[in-house]
Amino acid sequence: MKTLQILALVGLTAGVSVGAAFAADALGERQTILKGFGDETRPVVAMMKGEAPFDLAKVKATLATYAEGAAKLPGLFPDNSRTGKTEASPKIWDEKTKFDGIFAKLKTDSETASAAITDQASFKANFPKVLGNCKACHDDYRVKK
Amino acid sequence: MTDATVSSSAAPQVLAWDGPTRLFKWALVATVVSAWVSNKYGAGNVAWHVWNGYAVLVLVVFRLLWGLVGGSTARFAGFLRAPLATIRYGLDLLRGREAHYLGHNPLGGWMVMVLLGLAAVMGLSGLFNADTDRMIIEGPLSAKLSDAAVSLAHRIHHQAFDLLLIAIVLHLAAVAFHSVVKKERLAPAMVTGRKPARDYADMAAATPGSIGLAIGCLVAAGLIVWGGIWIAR
Ligand code: HEC
Repeated sequence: MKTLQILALVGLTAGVSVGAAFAADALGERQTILKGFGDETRPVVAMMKGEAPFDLAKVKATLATYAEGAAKLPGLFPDNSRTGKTEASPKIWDEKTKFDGIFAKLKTDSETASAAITDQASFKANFPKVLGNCKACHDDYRVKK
Repeated sequence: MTDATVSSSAAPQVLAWDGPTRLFKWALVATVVSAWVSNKYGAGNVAWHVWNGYAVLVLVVFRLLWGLVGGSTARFAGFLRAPLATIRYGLDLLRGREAHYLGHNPLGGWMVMVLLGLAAVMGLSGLFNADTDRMIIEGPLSAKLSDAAVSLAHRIHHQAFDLLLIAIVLHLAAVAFHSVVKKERLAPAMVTGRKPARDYADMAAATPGSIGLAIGCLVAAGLIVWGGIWIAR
């Protein structure tokens, strides 16, 4: 009986710590991906403003980063990752479907733009639509800490 | 019923708001609505929101100039009353024995200033505002500022919007009150420019401002806004 209790206790502790570790992992992982979005986006925005020369390969690589990240991100906001050092708004977990939908849209918009962008003109015409998803989501679901 | 209709339509009408004043008013309404829509739904085309901001600033500066040289009911000197006189008007209104105004009544006159002031704060704070990462939407004067300053501009931009919403609700409520309770048709007058003649406290009929001066004010407003931004950059 005693052994069983100990086993249960150990199991519970292990479960809780794995859960906590997963939450911390998810938090860190999503922030790494999003920070990567930011680092990738900066030079592309410079191209858009004419401050840097247009580089088609760089633009396509950035769009691929968005599509790849957007596929992973919905899974990196588990329910137990609300707190901690995060700019994620609590609203995310009330409207998780809508929130995930913006990532889905970022993914398809990035893929569509990647196919449509062949030169500087099509870059300027198509890239802002992709960035629109960043703003739309941040306006509603990212709070300044 | 027929009598009333006939007599009201036959009642002599006088000019209350000249063309430039009315055009300004509805242009500001349209621009503010568009600025809201473009922020909420136009994330893919941030230039739209930025240009709405420029338009608001040009319109507000136009109105400040027009308040000096425009039609008689548009002039600040004509409709801004001292605080005590404004309070007295408010009390008279509550007792149902207020004077009638062809132009803005004393409370309405201050409402105009509040609305213009908040629109100005929105436009000005927008010049210094940007998204957190300064990548997606940036006001033309945000680049040189520290993150803390941009974040202050951001807070001001948002709080001014909340205050503007409150002011707009008050404004609409006042117009509704005057229309329903007092049977004054204020909204149609802002479209047609005309009101029925009666014993108005401010003036019997408005003198319209000159169209040439209106165009001059608009050009000057554009120069002030873009000149100012150009110098500040
Ligand atoms: C569906 C919502 C959503 C979309 C789309 C989105 N973000 Fe975010 N972003 C967030 C949230 C939520 C955070 C805060 C995460 C946290 O702190 O846990 C964030 C944080 C960030 C950060 C700060 C990361 C850090 O911790 O340093 C950057 C940079 C960023 N996003 C850039 C972008 C860019 C660029 C795009 C578009 C390509 C984008 N995001 C699209 C929701 C989104």
